[in-house]
Amino acid sequence: MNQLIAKNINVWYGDNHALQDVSMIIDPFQVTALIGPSGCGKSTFLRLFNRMNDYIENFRMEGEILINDINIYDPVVNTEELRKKVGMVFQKPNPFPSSIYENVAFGMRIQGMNKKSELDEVVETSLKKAVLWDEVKDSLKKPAFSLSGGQQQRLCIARTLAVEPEVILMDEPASALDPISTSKLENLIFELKKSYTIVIVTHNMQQAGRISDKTAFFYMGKLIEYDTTKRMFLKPAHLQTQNYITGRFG
Amino acid sequence: MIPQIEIELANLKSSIIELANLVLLQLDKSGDALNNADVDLANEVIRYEKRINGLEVNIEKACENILALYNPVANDLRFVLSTLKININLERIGDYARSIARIVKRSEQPFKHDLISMLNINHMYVTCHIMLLTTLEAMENDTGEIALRTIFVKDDILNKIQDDAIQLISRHLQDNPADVDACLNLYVVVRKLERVGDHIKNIAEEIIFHKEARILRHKKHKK
Repeated sequence: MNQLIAKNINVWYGDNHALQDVSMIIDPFQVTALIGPSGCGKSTFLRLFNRMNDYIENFRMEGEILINDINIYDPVVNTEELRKKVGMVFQKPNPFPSSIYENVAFGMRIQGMNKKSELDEVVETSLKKAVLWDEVKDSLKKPAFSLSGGQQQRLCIARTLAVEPEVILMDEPASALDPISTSKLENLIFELKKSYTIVIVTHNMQQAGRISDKTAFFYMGKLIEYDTTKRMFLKPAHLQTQNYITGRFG
Repeated sequence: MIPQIEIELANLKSSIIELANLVLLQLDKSGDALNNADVDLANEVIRYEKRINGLEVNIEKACENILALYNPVANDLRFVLSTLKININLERIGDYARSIARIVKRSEQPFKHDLISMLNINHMYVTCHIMLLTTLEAMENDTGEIALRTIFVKDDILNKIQDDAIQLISRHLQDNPADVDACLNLYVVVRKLERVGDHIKNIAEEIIFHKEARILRHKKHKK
């Protein structure tokens, strides 16, 4: 269920061999953190799971990405359907220039759901799951941009949850947030993993330690080490991992 | 450019080594004071104890700072955690050296050499010295568990000497009842040196934890 499998993945951007023979099994209902210095390939790896790299010029891939045993790079796979199942939260909150309500309802509307009572229910449930409901329930018609950065990020998560994904990809979701908003977001991630499989790219070592069950360390396009977060942060098997997490390089 | 945490950890390492060297010196001096009934040297050991206490507090503060400001992980975290515990153990050894110095200072007459020799006290001192020196070398260099394992064997020697002491004293007192005060005082010395051995063993376990991420406390040691 919701297991993500990467098999012998190689990615090129033109001549740049961005990912080199990466294989990894991501467990369901867990938080998996991808760490590594800039340019190591972790974001490229993350974006493989909802085919976001397809939009990048000169992108080429070999290998298989399996979600629930289906190769998502198979030509018959509908990418819109895939992205409903595999939601994504970006580094900078990116709400649409509309109301809080419409931001969450957007995904349902483009799927053809227009009945107000149904939309109301989805909006409320999604905002509750994103732990934002209590803060915005009296101002749903207000513009999304009136919210703080941390609230906007949780709104984007609510928008992702509204279309009932199975997997949530997060690309440095807290890097633009203050410590209080970061803490709220981390608590939210902890709650969400009960129902979703979460993969998160982070540059914050302490954050990876706090929220993830497993951690993968990438360096120069290679997966150097992948293990339980506890083991990675207490006794990593590779010197490169140790040097990176202790701040010796990167 | 050297990362700041590396500088802090290097400073911490040199502080704990300084403390270990000082404690080793105190221990040796307490032995010399005992053997030579040297009250001046005993007073010096008692005076220097304050310096050990000061260093211990500074090392604890340095560990606290590194944990709070640099969030160390992996090898670095284990180094700070083990240093915290080594620090406490070294300070205790310093306390024992001072206690022995106080016995020398309080004693009205020098301890007879045949009594010291009967109780194997100098053997205990040499054993403690070698044990502490081995841990010091392990702290300074990358000595693995094999070198440290000798410490566990030597600790057993100290335990055996202490176990035998009561019988030796009781036998001696039957023929020399006048030696009762000296025997009691020297038994206290034997007890303290046995405890020194326990603390050095603890230090060895902490060094192994730092280097190999294995907790050896409460486990039977391979020898």
